[in-house]
Amino acid sequence: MGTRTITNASHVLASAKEGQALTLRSAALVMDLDRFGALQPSRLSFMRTLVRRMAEEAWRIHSERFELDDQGHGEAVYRVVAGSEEYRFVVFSRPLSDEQRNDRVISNQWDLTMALVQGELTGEQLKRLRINVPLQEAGRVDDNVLVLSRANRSSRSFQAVIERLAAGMQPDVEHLKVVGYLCRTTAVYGSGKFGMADWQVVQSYCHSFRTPFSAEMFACFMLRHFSCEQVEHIARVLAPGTAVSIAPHIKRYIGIGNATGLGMAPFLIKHPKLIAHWMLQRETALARVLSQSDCDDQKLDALKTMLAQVIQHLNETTVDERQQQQRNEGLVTSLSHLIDALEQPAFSGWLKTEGWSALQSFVADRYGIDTDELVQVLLFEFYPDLVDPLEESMAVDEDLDLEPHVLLSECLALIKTHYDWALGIDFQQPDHHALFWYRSEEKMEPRLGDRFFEMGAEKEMPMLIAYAVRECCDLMDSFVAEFPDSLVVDFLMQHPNQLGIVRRIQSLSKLHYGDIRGNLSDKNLQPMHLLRAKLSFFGVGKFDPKSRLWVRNTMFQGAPLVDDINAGCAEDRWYFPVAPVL
Amino acid sequence: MRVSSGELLAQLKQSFEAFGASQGEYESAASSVLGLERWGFDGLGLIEGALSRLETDPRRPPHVVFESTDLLIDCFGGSALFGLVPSVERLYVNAWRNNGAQATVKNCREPAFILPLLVKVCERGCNAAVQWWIDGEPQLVHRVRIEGGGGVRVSSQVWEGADVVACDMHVYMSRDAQGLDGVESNAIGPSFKLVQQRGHAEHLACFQRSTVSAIEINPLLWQRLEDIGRKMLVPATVQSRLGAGADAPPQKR
Repeated sequence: MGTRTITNASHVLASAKEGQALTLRSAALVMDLDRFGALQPSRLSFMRTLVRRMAEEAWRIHSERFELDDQGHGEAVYRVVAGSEEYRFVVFSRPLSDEQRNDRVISNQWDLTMALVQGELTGEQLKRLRINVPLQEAGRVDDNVLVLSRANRSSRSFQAVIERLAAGMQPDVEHLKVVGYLCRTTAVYGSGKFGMADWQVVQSYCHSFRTPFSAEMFACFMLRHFSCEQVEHIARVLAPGTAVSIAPHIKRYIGIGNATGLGMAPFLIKHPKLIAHWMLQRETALARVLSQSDCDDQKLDALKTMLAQVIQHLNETTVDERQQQQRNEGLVTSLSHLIDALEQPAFSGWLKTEGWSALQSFVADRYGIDTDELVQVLLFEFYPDLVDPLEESMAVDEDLDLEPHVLLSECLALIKTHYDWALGIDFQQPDHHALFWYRSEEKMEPRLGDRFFEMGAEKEMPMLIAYAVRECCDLMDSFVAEFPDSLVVDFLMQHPNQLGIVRRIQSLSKLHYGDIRGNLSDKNLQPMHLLRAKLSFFGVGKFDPKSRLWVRNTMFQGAPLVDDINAGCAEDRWYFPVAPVL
Repeated sequence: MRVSSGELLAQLKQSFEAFGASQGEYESAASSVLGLERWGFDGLGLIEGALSRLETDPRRPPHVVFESTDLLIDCFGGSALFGLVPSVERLYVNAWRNNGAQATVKNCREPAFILPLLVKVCERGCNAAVQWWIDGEPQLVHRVRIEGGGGVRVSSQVWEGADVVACDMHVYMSRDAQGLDGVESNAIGPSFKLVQQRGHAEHLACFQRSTVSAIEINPLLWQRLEDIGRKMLVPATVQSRLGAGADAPPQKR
């Protein structure tokens, strides 16, 4: 592994191998909120990482209990052996009427509820889980539980697949293109909530889930497995003489659905060092890849094949929202143009001479950020040796600390350098300070309100970093004018309510990628960009916004199956999945 | 009941936010309660005793009455839980510049809550000793020593003395651990009796235990914290539901 040297706050050198210095893209470019809305899943996404780990470490997953009735209600327990560690994945399936089935966080009943448990599962603990897991947020679990989640059956596909299997037919692939899952999660909790193990415990003592969100992703992977076993079970009961199992190549095309709303957004603001670190790893991967000089015919042909696959994937993606439709259509057009360009000897010859960085510049200039971000993650696929080691470096110490001895004028200069984007916003304009974030009484669900027309702004969450920076900077300007030689601590003695933002500014200014650059109170804010960024790190596909505030997507579509993992034949090439050919 | 460190911290932050504390202040206060508990100083017991007063008493920030290298701070009968971060940071800067500094903190309740703040600055390589007097029967003097650099070392003593009269807290900070020895030895008279002593190993064991297992909390205290935190929630209305995505047309799922 190479080393990183921070030469100054605005320029970082990353070394892929000894003696080779690489330039990372600027924070102004990478941390821009609009670009966050263009991020794509990559080799570094947590689902890809998890599947690779399961395969490389030869995990073994077997059913210990599968007690479902004719309707698929009951419970199942899977034993997971990962090296020297053991886990149990427990699912409870309960009857739920169509009227009760709802994706909102504020729901309190679900078709499926589940937990991932470390170690052995005793009868006593199973009894406790049976009571508490179906309650979700209203329950309490033991501290060897790593993940708590729930899911609903898809009303579009669950029953339809059962009927086809019962009739001896495979699921309709055309239908799966539209709804590529049988069940859809609506929340996946980890990191110490409701009595579960803290992230620090998981990181330190659960080697299999040592990287962020790997336990959560695994729970979704197992839910996908269970959902397939569940429909096969119901079909067999329904028609014992004719029912068939889902063919493996079709089963791989079945993922797990996910519905995500605003609840995900505060995470990105509350964990600024973590997000900056994830971006650093991703950008380090990009810098390493772009520095490679082996752009040859073989790789260019492979790139064309990948681009064609992405086009097919996008064409098979059904999206209702107009803006996302247009973005997908724009991507298809630009990727088609790029394939045409790559067919031209002059262009491919130029690339072979100039390398991947020339391609990246060409794509960014010609096609914009959506295509730019997409082509980058495709290039990652050529260099697993350069990219994959970074997956072990996704965790970071998230502590924010003060430097009280620093001259206040220096701190002010830091703000003016690193937060110029925030200082450029005119908060006197009502539209620039129109929204506020708050927690609702309904399950503490994060929501957005209009500051001028809705109640509750006095209880707003501290999400408005740009506004807080502006306020702090104004106070500092006045203070420095009066006390030119003052220190940060002098300022804080006078303005103790600035402690939080000063701590954040000083901590993040040391990082190459600091805060997300966006005004979260702007009337035209697209919160979807925040969701997309985090979901891209998870590795979801089929991004399908249902409004500007919530999105449906598909997880693990195309991924190897539990059977593939158990058989030691799991492939890593499951990005941008396309429908199987029958 | 048992809670994780993460959810305890999140709940404390929300509850303290409801007291009207600023973000930096409630984050530090929440970390203080958790830190005190993890290092074996019964942070939860302390907050349980203080909660009613913290909830109802108007908060008056500590005031630095006098400042040179040393500080004299008046808390006006308020808790050490809130408002002391800038003063501790000031002490740290003074100690770093002058190789040592001290502060007297008057009229301060729950003085132990200053300990996690001191641990935090000692993690930067400083050293601190703090002692406070508990006026009761018997009268007690608590002393805690925190050595920084290369991992923080915490040790503590409780002394009993019949002739304790002061009710202040004294904090000493030094760049060198040896710098604490003189000031510490001055504070305890010959009539005092050592009634409790815990070395670094004991405190570290507490800390390490808390990193691998959940924290035991009185369910009534947890309920109380939740009730207080609930004040930061905004009532749900039809309009508010729109702000969570309910404006989307019904979709077939």
